[in-house]
Amino acid sequence: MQMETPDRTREPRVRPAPELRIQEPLVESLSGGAPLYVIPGGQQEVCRVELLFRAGTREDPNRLLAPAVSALLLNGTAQRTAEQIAERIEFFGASADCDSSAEYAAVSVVCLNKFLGEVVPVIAEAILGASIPERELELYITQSMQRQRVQNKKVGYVSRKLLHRALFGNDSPYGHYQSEEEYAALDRRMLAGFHKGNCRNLAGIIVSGKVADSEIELISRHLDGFGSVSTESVAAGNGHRPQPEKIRREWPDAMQTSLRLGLPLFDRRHPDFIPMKVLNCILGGYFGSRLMSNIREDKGYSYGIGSAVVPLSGTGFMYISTEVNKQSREDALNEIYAEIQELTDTRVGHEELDLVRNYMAGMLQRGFDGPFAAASAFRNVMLSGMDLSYYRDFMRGLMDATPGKLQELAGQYLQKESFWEVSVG
Amino acid sequence: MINFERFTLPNGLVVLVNEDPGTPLVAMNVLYKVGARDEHEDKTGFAHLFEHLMFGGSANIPNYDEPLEKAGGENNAFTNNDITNYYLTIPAQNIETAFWLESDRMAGLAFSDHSLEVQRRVVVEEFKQNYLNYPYGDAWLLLKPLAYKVHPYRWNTIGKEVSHIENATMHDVRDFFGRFYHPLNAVLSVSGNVKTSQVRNLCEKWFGPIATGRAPARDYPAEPGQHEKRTRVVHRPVPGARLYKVYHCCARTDPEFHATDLLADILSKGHASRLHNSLVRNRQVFTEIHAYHSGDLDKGLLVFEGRLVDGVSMEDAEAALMQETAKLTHNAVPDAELTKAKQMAEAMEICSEIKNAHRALNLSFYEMLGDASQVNHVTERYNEVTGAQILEVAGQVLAEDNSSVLYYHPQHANGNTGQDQGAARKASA
Repeated sequence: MQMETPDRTREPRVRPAPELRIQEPLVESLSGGAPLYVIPGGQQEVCRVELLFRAGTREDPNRLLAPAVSALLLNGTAQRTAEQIAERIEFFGASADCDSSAEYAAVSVVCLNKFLGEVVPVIAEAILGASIPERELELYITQSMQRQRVQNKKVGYVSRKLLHRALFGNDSPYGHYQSEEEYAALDRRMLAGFHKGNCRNLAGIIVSGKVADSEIELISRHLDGFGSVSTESVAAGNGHRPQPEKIRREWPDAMQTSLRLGLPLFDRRHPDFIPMKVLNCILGGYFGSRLMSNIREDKGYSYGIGSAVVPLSGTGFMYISTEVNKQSREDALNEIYAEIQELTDTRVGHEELDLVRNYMAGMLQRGFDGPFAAASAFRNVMLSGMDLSYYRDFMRGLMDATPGKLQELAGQYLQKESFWEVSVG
Repeated sequence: MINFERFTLPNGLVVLVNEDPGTPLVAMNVLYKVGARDEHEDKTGFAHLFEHLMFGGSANIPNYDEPLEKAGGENNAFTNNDITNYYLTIPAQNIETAFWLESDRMAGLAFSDHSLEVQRRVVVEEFKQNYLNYPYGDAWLLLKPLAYKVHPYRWNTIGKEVSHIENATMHDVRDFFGRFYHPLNAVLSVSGNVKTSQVRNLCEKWFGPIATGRAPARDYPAEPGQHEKRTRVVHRPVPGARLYKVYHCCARTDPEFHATDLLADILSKGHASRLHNSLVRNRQVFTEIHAYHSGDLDKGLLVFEGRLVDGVSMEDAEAALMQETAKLTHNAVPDAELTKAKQMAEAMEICSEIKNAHRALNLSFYEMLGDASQVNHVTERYNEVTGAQILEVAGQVLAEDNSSVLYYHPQHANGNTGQDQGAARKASA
């Protein structure tokens, strides 16, 4: 074979990404009416079953019950203790995670296909019959309070909390952080009531992995005790419209200062959403971003800095976050604002924009690599009441984000005086 | 099951390829057999600092990240006691960019003094962020030198102290590169939408011309057996007490590794494990407790980390933990419990094969251990473990004389700084 001599001085030609291959999920319906979405794929005999409930903090006017109920969904029924349920899941090597957000609660089960018949009925029975035992609630409260006390010693956590509260208000599902008093006041009857109202109906099930008809049939059969509910929340949106403020907490003993800047934006449906994602990527959304190049790679003020555009239901926000050497706080802030201003003052060059588009297209491809990743990508849009065409629009939107458009958006949204600024440490 | 092919370039670089036509991406993993154990005791933290420098420019490429990002790729790296591992994923059509980038920085580094200076500062901030500024962050800085007296595992990957990083010189960096960054000390693996023949051609083109090196000497001083319990008490401005207890145990490649790993799983994996049921749920001594094998290539540690329920004394918490570990040294694990641990291990193993990046890492890792094909026999190794072996391992490992314990207390507002015998860092009240 002929040996090629490499020319190391020239980078290999970059080829454009092929059309994004997005597999539409197969849709079935449970006997109780909830949609079951199937995303087949992968070589390993394993699958993930996600049960989605409209049981996030939005559905809970007090903001206290939803996280506790989701944490205790598998922790005891009238017939079985938490240990017994966990044993029946873990004996088969399966795992079940419960999580909740402002919008949803989800139970996510990863299980070898050969044990689905043993594990799925245990999960269904546990959720439908969850009795929120007093002992489990006490344990949850003790653990949560202890975790929160540790978190409250971290500059990064406290600055996040202060920013979210300031942006959305402490009463909002997006700005609420529970206090120790609120944990202590949790009452099992109220939790049981929230469970009854929100966790017996499914907003959807997503099954991903190497599944065939027989597995789908089995899963559907064991989940037939659940009713259904639409993904549309009836809860009111976020009406909070405060003025930007500067919040500072001095911690004399801290070795670093957490800086967190933010401002309210919009959800995925907003026409500026995709170009704002591009603008954000340029600013702080990847390792080669302007903020990372400046604050970390040029100045060495920090181990890292990043920014993100976060879509929520009917609203959204953008933030910039870093932990800097304490002596460099003011210098770092000045540099951050200078980078923000630069986006308004000077159009992004084509070379940088091409790089960011390619990077984001690659990210999107990675978001569909393997059945579990594809299921997560589907879940994100499904829960916003959208479908997978969002991702095709996103690919097109990357190309529509011109230097002129990005400069216009920077002028419209990213002005220094529009930012909330939090500093802790 | 990971199907793969292996070949070796004339310069000694071992390459492993896993073809997966089902993905549009390719993952590449370059493992260098160098970690914190290869550092000089006065220049600790160097392997990890070096990992940062590997992104600071090579002979023909001033910046590693930019061309990769332009090609739609993403990367990261990690360093531990034993290895430094670099990994990336990239859309398959741009795979050659990955070969160009990884081969150029294996061929020679060329970063500037400025880059060294900045990365020293970045790593110092990383040190502060993760080890000094966050509650309990210094626990391992204290534990390692308690458990190890001779072997280089006595310091952490991040380094013993900030000054070691601040004092790193360009000369140190060049010397380190020459010793450890060459084809004979690396394993390359590729997983994704590729053909083995294509990878072979690209390897010969880009990695083939790199000069071979000399296998570095690996004569780490063996840690002598421990015959007396070691303890350390510290008080810090943290909200609650924690107990860290470690026991010397086998190395990753020793025959009893799988039994030791299952022993740790039986104790603490999942919500129905022994420690969770007994000490968290029923006796309410800890709010959380974990046990695990450190996974090191030389003799490692069986680690227990427990967060005490407020109001429980350290003595009571440790005594409760010892009652549970004593059960394992006295009574064989029931068959059903062993079966459960094996089924959990099997599921973990299968799940670790789902992502291309994990497959590429697993191939490199098992090749580094001695033979990549062992990656397909992991479940067998766990299934061979018997209750008698676990009993034997428990008896050997879980002895008080073999333990080192860090009692990490909250420092109360009344100024009680306790009997802290001078940590590397003075925590202020």
